Amino acid sequence: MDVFDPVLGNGCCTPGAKGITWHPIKTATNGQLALGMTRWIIENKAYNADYLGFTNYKAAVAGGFASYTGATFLVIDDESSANNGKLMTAADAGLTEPEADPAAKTKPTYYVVMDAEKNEAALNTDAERGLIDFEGEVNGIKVRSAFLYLKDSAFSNTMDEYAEICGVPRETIEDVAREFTSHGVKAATTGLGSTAASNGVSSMAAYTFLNALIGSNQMLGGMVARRIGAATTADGKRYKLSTIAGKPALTDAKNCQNIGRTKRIWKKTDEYKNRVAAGETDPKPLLPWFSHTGVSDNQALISALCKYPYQAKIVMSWMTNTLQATSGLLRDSVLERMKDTSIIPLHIACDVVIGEHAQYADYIVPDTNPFESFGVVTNEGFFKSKGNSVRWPAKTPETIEISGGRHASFEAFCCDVAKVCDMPGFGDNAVTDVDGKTWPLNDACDFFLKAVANLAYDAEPVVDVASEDLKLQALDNLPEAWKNAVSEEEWPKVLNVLSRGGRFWPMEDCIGKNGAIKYATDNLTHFYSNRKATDANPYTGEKLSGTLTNDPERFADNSTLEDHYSREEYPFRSTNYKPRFRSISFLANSPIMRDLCDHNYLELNRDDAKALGIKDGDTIKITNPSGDVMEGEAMVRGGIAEGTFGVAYGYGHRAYGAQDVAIEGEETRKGDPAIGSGIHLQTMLDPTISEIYPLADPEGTSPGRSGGMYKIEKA
Amino acid sequence: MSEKKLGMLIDLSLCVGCNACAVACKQENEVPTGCFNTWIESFDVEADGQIKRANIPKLCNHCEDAPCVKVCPTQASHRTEDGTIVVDPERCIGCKYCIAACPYQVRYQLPSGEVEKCTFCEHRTSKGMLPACVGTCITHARMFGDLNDPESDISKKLAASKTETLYPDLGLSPRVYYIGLDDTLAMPVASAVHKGGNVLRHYEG
Repeated sequence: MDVFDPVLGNGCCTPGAKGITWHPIKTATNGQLALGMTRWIIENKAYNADYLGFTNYKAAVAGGFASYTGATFLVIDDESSANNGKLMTAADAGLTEPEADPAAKTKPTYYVVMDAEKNEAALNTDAERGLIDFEGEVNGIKVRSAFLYLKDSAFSNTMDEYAEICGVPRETIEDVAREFTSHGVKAATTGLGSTAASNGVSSMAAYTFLNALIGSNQMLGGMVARRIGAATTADGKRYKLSTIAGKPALTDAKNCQNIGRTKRIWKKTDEYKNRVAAGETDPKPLLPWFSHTGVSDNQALISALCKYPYQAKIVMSWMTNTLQATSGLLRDSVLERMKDTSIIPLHIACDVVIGEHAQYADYIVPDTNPFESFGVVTNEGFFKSKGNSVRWPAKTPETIEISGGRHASFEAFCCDVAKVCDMPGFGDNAVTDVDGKTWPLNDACDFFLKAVANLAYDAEPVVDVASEDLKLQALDNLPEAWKNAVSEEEWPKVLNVLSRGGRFWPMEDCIGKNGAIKYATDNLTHFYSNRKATDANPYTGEKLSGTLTNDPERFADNSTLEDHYSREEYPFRSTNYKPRFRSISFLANSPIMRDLCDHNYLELNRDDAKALGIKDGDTIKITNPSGDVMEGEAMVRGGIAEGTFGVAYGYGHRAYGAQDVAIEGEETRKGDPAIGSGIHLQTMLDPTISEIYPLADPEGTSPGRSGGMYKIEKA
Repeated sequence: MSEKKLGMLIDLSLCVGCNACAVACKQENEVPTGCFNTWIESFDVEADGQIKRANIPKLCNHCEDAPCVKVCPTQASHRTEDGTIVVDPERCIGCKYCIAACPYQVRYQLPSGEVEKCTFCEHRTSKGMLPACVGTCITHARMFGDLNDPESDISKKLAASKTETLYPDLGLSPRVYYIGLDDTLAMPVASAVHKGGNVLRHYEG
């Protein structure tokens, strides 16, 4: 096993664990490492050519796999075509799509491939195998197989150049690529979430491409599917929890725009169209737009602070500390805007703590903590079995009692406000069961216990709770409101699931046919993304690449950091990582966690420290080009890459109990400064944006918490 | 069968330094702030040109020849039938001789005067449960049981493994065994030594 990480974490590579090697990769170069591996894999034909040739799911499954790729799909590479740069369609190719099934909810997408057997263009559903290296003409249009675009990208640098970019020896990249491709489908690469660098989008794509090159998606021993569970809070076996009569049909694709500026191409916004109609040529947006990412909390907050693309007249924050969790936002200029009612007229927070974000709310609604609330979630992590865990209140909430014997909580607040506003889906007759009977929704138990019933009845219903469990866990003494939330028949089965903390199917159930996992679904990895390829940077008009590219860190207008600031003056990058003794924004209020670790450190490589005259334990000063200064204790170590500094999240709180809190009608509650100990990473602002805009991925939205530019001095 | 002799075996190749043991112990034993009955020392080491990160859990070694018991003027520090070393708070006069005598530095004094340390969670083990640190360990790096019972899991693993103890030269017959301890301690240190996340010894590099 090989660990590529700028910072050596506890536990991933210990002296006693044999065969695990830590490679101190340069920060924000994951995508380039993957491209280096890809180059070696293609040059040495170590990819699974058999697998990549399959043109559709059915053919791939028949061939012994559990997924397929778009390696064979043809891309138009012809400037004379109106669809240049897009995946070829049946119409482009002069082919006919099958007639649509009138009963189907979604229309299938057809792609054009070069049939490997007949050597002629065909729909991907009509051919079993296609060519991954076709270059030629179809229907008079020049086309290339999608695989070739990844190949071009991988071959844009030599192996030695990749080694130099990543700070990893060429032999290591080759060895890892060889090892990765030496076990058939029993290898996998993956990463969760964004990689939190301004070029993080390429890191995420890299994991996907590597798995696709060996065909390991949804295979046992390979890359298993995530979050396999029952339909619980959705339309399940007993209750239709996601069907709400009268719910407004709003989607980003059709009739609304999320405030975080995602899921839409800038040129397709109303603003762009209106400004062009008003006579502007090539208008530029105030803040970037992101066409191919989902919703983004940090971008939503920046939008609210800039009143762009529209003003957030009411901000409702629940259980969130976006302000603190977005490196680069916790600065005075932002805090002034949080307080300004002409920018955010009404901010209501609901939380159990008064964090950095919540402390600027006009109202704070008390919430229940995890021991006082419900939750029904699918198994997290890459876990090949099926299951959902259930959290249910282990104690009576400490919050005030409100009407109907309820306690103040986010759920009760939502129900009450929704009823006053006459919103559908709350109050009497809010939820419909599978038999058409309606049920009220006035509190958390009304919703979550129905989700538990859906879980209990998924596939084969569970048996009724055993009398021993009833007594042992005091399940015979639960609130009447819980029992009333489901039918009499369901209640003993709901209790069974509660007694087990969820429902977990046997591990052996995951074994499917021919080495696939049983829960495999129609799974396609594109080698060329139409969604990306049809978008462009909103500031430069530069088209985005349809495949994985070798991107350095960039500002919003795609310019590199070095285009604006001197790398000589700011030679260091940050590596901001998840801590052991805090979470991203929680746990600083835990006395035990503070006892285990009083504060975080600014971690520096031994050779860098020596060159700077810094010793372990010295107080050092780190400055970014925006002039933000962080001061803290140096931790000089061998376990960090050169040219970066490590700093754990979750420290350097300004609020969350560190601050004094004035409560109406009560004495001021004194804060505990120990809660605020340590350093909060401050990333630089993007100089290409006139508004307050911390360095972020221009395609993927995530904060550039790892990477950037910093100088380090002894304080 | 002979009398019980409780002991612990820690496999350092399995310890990931998560510190869940230290948290479980603090909660179970209500250990005061600033004090620890068990903790993990974490530090970078060099091995064959590569950097690795070591984690060594520490706690009272419940020595067969315990210096703390010998120096205690009131027999407050004493050995129970199963060999566990405990402190009787009623008899402890807070003289701190034991704190000075313990080479493992596992004892501390409460503001009220009594001295405390790891009890192998005697209140749990006497009821057949595992010590809190063992029960919570996410990788089963800690193993606990009767060293006198050849059929116990710990005896079997001890018999099958190369194990070491801390400071064997002192001849105290400690009953906390480690797998991989000598190899780890032989590696040059490449960072500060952290106790949990706090600096125990700065790196002199």
